[in-house]
Amino acid sequence: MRITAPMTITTKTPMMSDRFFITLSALAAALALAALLMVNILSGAPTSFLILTMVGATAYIALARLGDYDQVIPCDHIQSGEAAVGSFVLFVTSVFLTATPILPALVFAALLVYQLFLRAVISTDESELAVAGALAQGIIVAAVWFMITGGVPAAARMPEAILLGHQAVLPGPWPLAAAALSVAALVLCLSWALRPELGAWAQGPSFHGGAAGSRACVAAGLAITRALLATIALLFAGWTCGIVISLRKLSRGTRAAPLVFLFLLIFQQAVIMTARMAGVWYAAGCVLLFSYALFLLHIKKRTHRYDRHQKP
Amino acid sequence: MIDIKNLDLSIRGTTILSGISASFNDGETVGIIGKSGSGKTLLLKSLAGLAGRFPKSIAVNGAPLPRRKAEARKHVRYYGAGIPLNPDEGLHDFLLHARAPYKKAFRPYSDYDRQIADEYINLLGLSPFRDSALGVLPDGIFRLAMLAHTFIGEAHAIALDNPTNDLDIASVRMLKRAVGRYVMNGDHIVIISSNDLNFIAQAADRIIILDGGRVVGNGPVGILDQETIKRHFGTEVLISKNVYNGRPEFHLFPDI
Repeated sequence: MRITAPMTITTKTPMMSDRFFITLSALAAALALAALLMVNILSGAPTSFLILTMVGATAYIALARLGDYDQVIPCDHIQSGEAAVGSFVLFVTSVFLTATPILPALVFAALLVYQLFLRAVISTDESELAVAGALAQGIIVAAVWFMITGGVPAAARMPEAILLGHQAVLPGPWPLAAAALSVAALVLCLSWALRPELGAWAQGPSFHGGAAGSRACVAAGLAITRALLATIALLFAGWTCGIVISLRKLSRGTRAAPLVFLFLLIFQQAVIMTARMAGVWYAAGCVLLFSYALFLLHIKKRTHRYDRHQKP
Repeated sequence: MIDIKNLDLSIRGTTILSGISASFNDGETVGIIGKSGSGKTLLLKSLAGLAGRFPKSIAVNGAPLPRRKAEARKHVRYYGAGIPLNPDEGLHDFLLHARAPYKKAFRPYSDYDRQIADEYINLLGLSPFRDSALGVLPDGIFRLAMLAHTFIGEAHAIALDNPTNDLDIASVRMLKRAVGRYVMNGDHIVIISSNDLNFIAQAADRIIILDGGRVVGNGPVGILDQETIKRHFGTEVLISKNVYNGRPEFHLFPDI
């Protein structure tokens, strides 16, 4: 027998002050973004390049959204080493291969393999994941260094491409950008529409209620989607995002979502501006610094997962 | 109704449960007691399809318990194993997910889903924490939240394994009320395994005593006398009657 008695259902509705604050912040952020875009355009950055980096940022937002449901790899693609692995593949393939159409496919394949490695080998603890990512970055930097000192001709614009995106090596960037944007938008829509199912799935088998097979299918789907989005973000926006930890903390609630996207675009344009004014290496240093600083703040502020008796 | 007939379970050659037969009627709260290692937890897990597969030994409403765990847990949901993996999720959202198996994809939770979630949030005193992240809940509240998730899932039967662990006295009282609410309509079953004899004596309609993996007692709470407790738990207790409902209350003798 079902309960039929009426009951007051309380749902979260933002207070007027929240709405006012979000609207005001969005206006301020839009103005700041417009100003940064203007500076970048005036400094000679091609408009097409700036638009393509925004496509990458959209994919990155979708990647951050997936992080809410993916308990295996919840931290940023810089800390988890995905950006390093993708960049290494791009570096190697750009040096040895001339057929650019297969570059995105190679990066995707490498990131998919790395996803499997992260899910099968690395602990789910964020700090251990970050240590593994830092190690991956170290190994890759060493490999690239040996290649360069060993006489492999590095492309002159390679550092810039790794930081700011590889749009130049993309075959037909606009159709590809449209496809990438569609994928990112589709992931965002699906993750929103299926948030109860994904939320239940993310809590583990004891709380999901689904069959083991369906759990494995969702896990595989997440790994593929994450690899795809990381590939898109890397190809279109390079390392210019890298602040997913703080994004995830801000992204609670639908009203805040556009604001978070604006903040990401501001960060990205600021990185591009730094690269154009101070050089790519300074900008790269800033991205890494910001990314790890936010990560450490997040880790330090966070209450331990559960108390010692309740560890999974 | 759930029927168990001649259930045997061995792990690595060691017999844990042997020839268990029992039945659980709709609308009934059954307490399972026994000293540590008597097989209480494994019996509950077997009922929920989490330990072994017993299509011939366990029947729900006359039909064998489904072999697939996901299907079995729709009939019997087990409380006691596992903790949620995403500690950042808010309590209310987490509890609503217990209704996920009942909703269609791309549809929001129904009013009934929200209503039943709110009811157990209130019953278990979780209202002040409804927007808190799971990872910051105090131990006792966290346990109540896990219990609420089990209740809100509304399986035909729920198997609560040591539900009073970490709960303070007020929370135990709220748990007892929630158990009463669950079986109130006569279409659900609550099976509780606990080492807290006083809670079992207050909450259960019937007691099953396990010893060495066998059912050695099955009857109303009145079967819990001094001799039975000494025989199966190896200790002497003083038994008094609750002044309100006459149910037994157990007191340890002080060490002299």
